[in-house]
Amino acid sequence: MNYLKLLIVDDDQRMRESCSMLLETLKIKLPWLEDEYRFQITETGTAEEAKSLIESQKTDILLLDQHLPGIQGTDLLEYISSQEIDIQTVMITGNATLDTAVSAARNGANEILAKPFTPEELRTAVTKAAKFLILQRIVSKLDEERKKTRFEFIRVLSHELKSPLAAVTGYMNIIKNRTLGDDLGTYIPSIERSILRLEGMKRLISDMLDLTRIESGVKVRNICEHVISEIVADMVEGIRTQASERKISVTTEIPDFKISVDRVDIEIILTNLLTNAVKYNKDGGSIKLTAHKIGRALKIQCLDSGIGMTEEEVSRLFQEFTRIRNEQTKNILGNGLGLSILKKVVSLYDGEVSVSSKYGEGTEFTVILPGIIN
Amino acid sequence: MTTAPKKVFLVDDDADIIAQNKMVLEAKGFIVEDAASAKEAGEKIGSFKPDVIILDVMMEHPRAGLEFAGKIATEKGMPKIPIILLTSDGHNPAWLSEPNFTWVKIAQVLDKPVTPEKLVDTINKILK
Repeated sequence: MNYLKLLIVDDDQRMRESCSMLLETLKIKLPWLEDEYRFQITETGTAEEAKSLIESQKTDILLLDQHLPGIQGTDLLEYISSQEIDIQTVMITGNATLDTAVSAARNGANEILAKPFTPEELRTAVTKAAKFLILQRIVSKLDEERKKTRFEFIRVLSHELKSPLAAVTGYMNIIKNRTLGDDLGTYIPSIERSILRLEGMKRLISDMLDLTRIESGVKVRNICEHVISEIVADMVEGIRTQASERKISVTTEIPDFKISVDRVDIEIILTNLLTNAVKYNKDGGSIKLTAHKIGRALKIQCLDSGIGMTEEEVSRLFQEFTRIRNEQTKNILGNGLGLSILKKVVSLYDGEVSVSSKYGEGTEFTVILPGIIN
Repeated sequence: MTTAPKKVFLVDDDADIIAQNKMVLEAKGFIVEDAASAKEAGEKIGSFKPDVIILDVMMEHPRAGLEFAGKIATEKGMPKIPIILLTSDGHNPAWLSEPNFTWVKIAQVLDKPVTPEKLVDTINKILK
């Protein structure tokens, strides 16, 4: 149970007591929030005392009579708004003219309650103010979280962009200083690594754009019918050189059927599955890619005989910029965005992606795209 | 009288940073060992017994290097070895003042990329 601090300010003691009695049992519930809210009630007869109570007890909701001895209710409202105190006010007015309502609202009252009012009217006004306050606090908390997430994303992104720059600058310094002697040939591996890191950086920038484009919904999708085996053949051709350099065999098992998709989406999915299967494979290993119809859904499976992952590594796999870092992966380049992009693309089709892996033995990714086969 | 060559332990998850610092330091006569993670560093440090550690910060997780440095500073039986942090966050080491890390003893923070001269100079000064 959560409590909101409610302060009743009225010079009429009987009025204070009856309001307090009516609100003591009131519970506030928002449909999608598990928690219920009730009130901790304090009372006072003057605006002067109310002012010091607001400061000392952090009042959430103020039930405020307009006419008070000494400082008036509207003056207290003015003070609250000038101090930017986070408080919701229900203003009780003696006569419900438009003028009083406007003046109370202008001074920051959130609800106006004209005397005489029924118990139900009081509860409704206080409930409205409380709900508004709860929502306002949730929104500001979400906004804080959004800012933090954004900062964290940019911090990690800038680290990922600085790393290749640092690596290339390091090699350039070695070449400039002739650290390995005067024979230019000895610097070729440093130059090759520099080129590789720069290519990786370029890929990171395009992956970032892909990811944000998908997330923002700006990407226009062009859904057409394609023969799946033809797309797969093209994609497999694309990684053939990479695979054969490490003597990795690639086999496919794909019956001829048509799917309705944006070709670019399927290419992103297949490229990510295949390049990971090559990168994280063992020399002389194998990759098997299959695609089948299950009703109107397409099921793609990519099985490799690679280094595999532990359960803990699998659990972190789809987080942005996550790369599985261990003794076996330290020389494998990547930016940790590939699977995040794959997952986002799969979600565009309300699909699913799952992974099963055995450390040291290999990994199998399964992608299911529903409703794309007519 | 000749002195025995000094031992430098490179801990970084970037294989290129390891490779190039190894080239620079071996050319200057240091004995170099490397590790790609804080975990691997913990396994190797006992047998290698380095004179100085060049340590990356963001490895298997964003604070892996700092945690390793903390372990060296506080754990019983861990050799007390000077640590040079080499990080791309080096221009703003705000984390060094975070309450969790104030006990980490760092001899120097170097910003990545570091020039060969600066790296060798810093190590020599610390080992003097």
